[in-house]
Amino acid sequence: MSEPATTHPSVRVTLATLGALLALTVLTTALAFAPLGAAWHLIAALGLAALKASLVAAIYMHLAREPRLVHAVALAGLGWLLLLLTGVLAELAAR
Amino acid sequence: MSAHAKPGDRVREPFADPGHQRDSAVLGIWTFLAQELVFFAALFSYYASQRLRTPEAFAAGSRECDWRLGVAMTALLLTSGATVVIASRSAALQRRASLVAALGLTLAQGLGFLVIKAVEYREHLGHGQTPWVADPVGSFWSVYYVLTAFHALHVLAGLAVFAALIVAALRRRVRSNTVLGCALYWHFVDVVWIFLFPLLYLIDPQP
Repeated sequence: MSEPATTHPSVRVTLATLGALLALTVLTTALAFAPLGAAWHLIAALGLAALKASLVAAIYMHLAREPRLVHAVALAGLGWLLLLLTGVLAELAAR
Repeated sequence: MSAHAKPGDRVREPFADPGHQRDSAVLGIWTFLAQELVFFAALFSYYASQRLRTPEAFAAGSRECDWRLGVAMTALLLTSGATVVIASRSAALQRRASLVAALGLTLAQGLGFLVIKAVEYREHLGHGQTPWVADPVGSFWSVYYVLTAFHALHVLAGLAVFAALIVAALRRRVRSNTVLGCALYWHFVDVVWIFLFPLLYLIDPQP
């Protein structure tokens, strides 16, 4: 049966995304026990978290299907986050 | 008319059509979420500064956090993200029974998250793991409580909203744009936890 059109993902896509998010959680946890250096642990954890967040934003929050103005607002928020973190880290590195 | 136009909500002033009304609601929620991101940016900056200052404290403190509970809470929030998508979709398609069921599941999972968090807090406080213990570990607990408490407050706010939505849906008064906005907020809370989980529980986990 065909589904009526909405901006929401279909139930099948929603459940597939959930499966991917849970698998990435298992991978994040498994990598935390892998014999990597502290820096690589952090990079892997943040990289996988960013991937999971991107899946949530693009599919669950249907950002991929929203108008460009919504993309601009979301990117602005991300920009403020990165600006603040960069400033704090630069200040700490300079000490 | 926008390509996103959907039936369900009555068009109100000053909107031209359902698509215009829906797109405006989404833009408003995303603007709210962008300022929420700035709020959490300050908290994550606090985390970064403290972790760089006392990396040993963060490794030691993180070992005291049970990563299994962290995984359980992550799974609960991720699954609640899926059920709230289904709730929002049901509202847009005017399927009231599945809307109420999906909102109920979301609420139950959010409650489960808070119960686990409360159990964790009780364990930590029972072991004297507070921000007031001497450095080097105190800095970790300070960051841990600030970040998790503000996140838990956001979860609590979401649960209050979902409870109100269930009541409204049972009275047939719920608007699909309202459910959509609440769902977007809930996903944001989910995204914050996606980062908190490895940053707090997986720095140096013990099997």
